[in-house]
Amino acid sequence: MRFTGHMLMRSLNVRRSRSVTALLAVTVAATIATALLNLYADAHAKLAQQFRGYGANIVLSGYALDQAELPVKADEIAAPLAYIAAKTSTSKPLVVVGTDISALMKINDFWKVRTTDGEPDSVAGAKAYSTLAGSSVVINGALLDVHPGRVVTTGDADESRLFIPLPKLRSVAPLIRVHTVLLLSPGTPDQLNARISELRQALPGVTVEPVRNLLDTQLSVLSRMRAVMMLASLIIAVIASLSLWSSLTAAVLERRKDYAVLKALGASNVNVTLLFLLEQAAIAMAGALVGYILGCAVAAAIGYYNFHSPVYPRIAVLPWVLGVAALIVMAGSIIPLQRLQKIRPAAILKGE
Amino acid sequence: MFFLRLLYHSFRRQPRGKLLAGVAVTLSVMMATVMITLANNVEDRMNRELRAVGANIVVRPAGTALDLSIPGTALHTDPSDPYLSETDTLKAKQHFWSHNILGVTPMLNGATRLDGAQVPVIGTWFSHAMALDHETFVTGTSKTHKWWTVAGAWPREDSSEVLIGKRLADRMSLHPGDTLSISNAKLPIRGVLSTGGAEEEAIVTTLPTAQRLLALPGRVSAIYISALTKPEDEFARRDPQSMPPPVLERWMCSPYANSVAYTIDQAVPDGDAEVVRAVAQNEGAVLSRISGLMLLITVCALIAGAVAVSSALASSLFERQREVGLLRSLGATRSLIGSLFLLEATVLALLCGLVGFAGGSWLATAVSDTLFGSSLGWNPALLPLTILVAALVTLGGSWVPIRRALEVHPSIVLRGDLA
Repeated sequence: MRFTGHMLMRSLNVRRSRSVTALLAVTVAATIATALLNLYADAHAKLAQQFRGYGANIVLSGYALDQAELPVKADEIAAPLAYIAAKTSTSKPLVVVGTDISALMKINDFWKVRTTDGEPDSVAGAKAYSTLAGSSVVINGALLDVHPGRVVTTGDADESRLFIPLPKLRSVAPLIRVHTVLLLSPGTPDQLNARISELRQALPGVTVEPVRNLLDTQLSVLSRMRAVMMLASLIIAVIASLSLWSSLTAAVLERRKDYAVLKALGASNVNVTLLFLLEQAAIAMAGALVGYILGCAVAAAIGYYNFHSPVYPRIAVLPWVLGVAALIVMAGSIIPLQRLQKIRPAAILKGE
Repeated sequence: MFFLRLLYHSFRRQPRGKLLAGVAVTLSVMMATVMITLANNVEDRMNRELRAVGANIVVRPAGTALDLSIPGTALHTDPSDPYLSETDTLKAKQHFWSHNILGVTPMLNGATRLDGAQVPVIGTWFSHAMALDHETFVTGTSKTHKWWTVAGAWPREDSSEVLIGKRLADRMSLHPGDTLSISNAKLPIRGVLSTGGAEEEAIVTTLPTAQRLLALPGRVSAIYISALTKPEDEFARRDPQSMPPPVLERWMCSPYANSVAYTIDQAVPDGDAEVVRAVAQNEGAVLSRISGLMLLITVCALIAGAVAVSSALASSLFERQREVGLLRSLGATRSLIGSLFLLEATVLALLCGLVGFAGGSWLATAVSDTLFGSSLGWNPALLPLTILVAALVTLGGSWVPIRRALEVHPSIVLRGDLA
C-alpha cells in the first residue's frame, strides 16, 4: 500500500507538466459542468422572477373579500381595489378606485409615471387627469378635493381611472366594498398554481384566478428554456468527455516507457492497470474539485451579469460532478488500458 | 511543393492521431453550430412564444373619452358614445408593418338584459378569415387571446351562436345546446368560455350578432393587436414629436412597439393606438435575459471545444516528436515546423468544420422541431461564421501543444530518451 502511494505521488510529481495538462482538461470540463448544473437549477427560478414585471399574476374577486382577512405572505404584494362610478364637479363621468397606493404602484411597476405638485398619494391615469383638469370629484353627492400628484400612462383601462387611498374614499362613500384584490406572488408556474389552490381553500366565496395569459406564457417560455439548457449541458458534457478521453490516451502513450520498465521489473498487468487508474482517478478528483469551485464562481458571475442576482453554489452539484468525472475517466480508460496490456517491454525499451 | 508533400504525407501516415483530433474538432464544431444556431434563433422563437401573453397594442376610439368600465358590472352603452368602425380593423393590419402583425381582433362591448338582469355582451372574431390584397389572413381571439378555452365548441364566424362565460353559466345554469332568446333573437349556446377574466361573466358572440343585439351596426369598441416587436431600448422611448426628420425615419423603420403603434395610429385616423405597457415593457427584459444566457452557454461550449481539440492534438503531436527532431536536425527552423503543424490544423479545421456544420445544422433543426414545433431551415449565412469559429477553436487549441512539441531538443528525441 505504501509502495503504491509512493509510486502514485512520484508519478504525478515527476511528469508534472503532463499531469498539469490532464488536470487542466478535467478542471475545465468540471468548471463548465458545475456552472451549467448550478445555472440549470437556478435559471428557471431566475427567469420566473423576470415575469414579475408583468404585474399582478393572481386576481381575487368577489364582495366576500371586503370582510375577509387576506393571508398575504411576506414576499407577496396585494392591492385591494374598490371601484365607484363618480363625476367631476364639471359633471363628466369618471371611475374612482380606492386602493393601497404604494402596493398598487409596486405591482404595476411598468406604469410610466409623471409627478406633479399634487398629493403623492393620489394617482390619476393620463386620460382621467386631463378630464379632471383641476376640478374636484363628486361621489355620492359629496364633494372630494383630489389633486393627483402622479399621472400614469398604462395603455389599458386604468388610464381612465383615478386612484385614491381607500380610507379617503370611505370617508365619502362609507358603504363601498372591496371587490377585487390584485396579488403579485413570486415563483414558478407550479408554485403559483399551488398558491392559488391554497387561497381558494382559505377564502370560500371568493373567485381566485390566475392571470392566465401570464401563467401560460411563463410556462411555455420556461419549459422551452429548460429544454435548451438541458441540451446545452449535454452537448458540453460530450465535448468535455472527449477532451478527457484524449488526455487519457495521451497519458498512456507518453508513459509507455515507464510501464515497460515496470513490467520488465515484474509488475503484473493488474499492478500496472491499478497504478494507471489510481493516477487518473487522483487527477480526475483534483480536477473535479477545483472545477467545482471555479464553476460555482462562473455561475455566480453569470447570475450577477445576466440576472442581476447571484446564483448561489449548490452543494448537491458536487457529488454529481465528482461522480461523473470519475465515471468518464473510468470509461475513457478502457481503450488506453487495452493498449497498456499490449505493451511488450522489450520492444519499447529497445526504442522501437 | 515539398511543404505540401509533407502535409499530404502527415495525413496519410498518421490516420489514427488525425482521426482523434478530427473527431474532436468535428464534434466541437457540431456542438458550436447547434449552440450558435439556437442562440441566433432562440430570441426570435421566444419572442413569438411571448406573444402568447396577448395584445401589445390596443386601438381605442380617438379623443379623450374615458373607459368607464368597472370589473364585475355590466357596462351601459349609449349609441352616441364614440366607437371605431369595423373597417378600421383592416386599416390596423394593412400598413408598413403588416408582416409584423400576428393578429388583430375587434371587440364590441355592451350590455343586454337576460332574465331581467344586466349581462355584459362581447362581440368579437374567433377565427375570422380577413381578405387582404393578395392573401387571406386568419385572425381573431385564436391569435390574440390564446389563453381562452372553451368547453364545447367555438361559434362559427357567420352564425348567431354564442359562448357563455363560465361564471355566468354556473350562476344561471346554462349549458351548451341551450338556446338564449334575447330581444327576439334566438342564440344557440355552443360552449362555455373560461378565460380567468371578466369575460367569464359575459355572453361572448360573433361580431355581427353583438352589433345586432346592441343596435350598433358596423361599430367596434376596441381593436386588439398582437405585433411582433423589437425589445424596447433608449432610442425606442424617445418622443417621435421631438425628432428631426432623419431620426424619425430611422425610428419609424425599427419595429419597436412604440413605432408600430405610431404607424397604426396614423393608419387609423379615428382611433388612438396605444402600447400596452405591461406587455411591451417586459418582453424586452425577458428576451434579453434569455439571449444573454444563450450567449454565455455558447461561450462555455466553445471553451470546452478548444480544450478538447487541444488535448486531442497534444496526443497526436506527441507521437510525432521524433519527426520534429528529425526535421530540426535536417535544418528546418522551428517556425517552419510550427507553420507546418498550424497548416495541418487549419486543413483539419476546414474539413471537420464543414462536416461539423452539416451535422450541427441537422441537429439544430431537429431540436427546434421538437422544442418550438417549427423548423429553422438551413441557414447558410452561419457557415462562414462557423468555419471561422472552427478555425479559431482549432488554432487556439493547437497553440499550446505545438509550442510544446517544438521545445523538445532534437538530440534528446532522436536518442530515444524521451518519456
